[in-house]
Amino acid sequence: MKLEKRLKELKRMNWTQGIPDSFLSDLKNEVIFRNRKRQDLINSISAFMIIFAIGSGFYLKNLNVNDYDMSQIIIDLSGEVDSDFIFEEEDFVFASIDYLIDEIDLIESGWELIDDFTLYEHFERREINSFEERS
Amino acid sequence: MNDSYLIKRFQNGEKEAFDELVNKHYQETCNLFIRLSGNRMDANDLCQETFIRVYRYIKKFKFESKFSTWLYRIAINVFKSYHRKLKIRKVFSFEEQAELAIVKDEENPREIDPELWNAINTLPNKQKMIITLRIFQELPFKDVSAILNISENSAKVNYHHAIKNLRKKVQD
Repeated sequence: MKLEKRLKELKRMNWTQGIPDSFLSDLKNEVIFRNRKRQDLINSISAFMIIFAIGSGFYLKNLNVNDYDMSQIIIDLSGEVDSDFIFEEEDFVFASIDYLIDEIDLIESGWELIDDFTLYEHFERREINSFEERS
Repeated sequence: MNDSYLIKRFQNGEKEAFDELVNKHYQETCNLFIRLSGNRMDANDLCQETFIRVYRYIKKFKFESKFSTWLYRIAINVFKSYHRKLKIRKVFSFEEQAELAIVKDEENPREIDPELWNAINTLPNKQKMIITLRIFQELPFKDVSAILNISENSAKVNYHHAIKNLRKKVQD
């Protein structure tokens, strides 16, 4: 038999004679069942998210208390350091800077003084040398 | 009754319009699945799955194509996922159970010209779907290409390859 004829024979076959009575009711039940299932899934996810959020909140709250305690410790420790001392130290640094800036002339004169001394030593040595030569 | 009219009624909240749509398209959809799967029981399940998807997405139907084309497209997607599951089942050696289900079916469609059935079934999936849509559902190539999301030329080429393969297999 030719292929076209066999295909036509097969095409003529109709296996379904109308819609079965149960099909529509089964279809509706399945739609309701799936909707309920999806709703349950959404509810479970929402519940999980809420529990997760509450848990995270508690955890973060506890974490914050610890942080607070740590900051208290840091504050307490810093409180024990003598603030007057820090102030004095700062003052000393600023005073040193001021002194160095203001007294640059003094430093310069100091260097000059040193130079004078070396010159003095130089002249003194020359005089001794000439005295030795003369004698 | 016109499909567009029924869809609009359903979209406006008239649930009974969906029953009419199912009544109207059940037979052609079920026949399509029987031809594709060769199994009445599976065809009924696939048909149900198709109409569940139609129910879920029909509110978004924009009347850009014919309802029947849209319905076939859903049906083909349902069949593709069924075929994928069947392949996985075969990998895990449940093949014997699948065959049993076919044998138990009293009105087994494969009993009519089993040689041609087997030849169609051994075709690559795309060619099988094109043969089914073109010959058994009598759809034009334009609709076949729209349903399978391929070009019209590709549908024609695949159709001719399918016929050629079938001729070889049934020794016409």
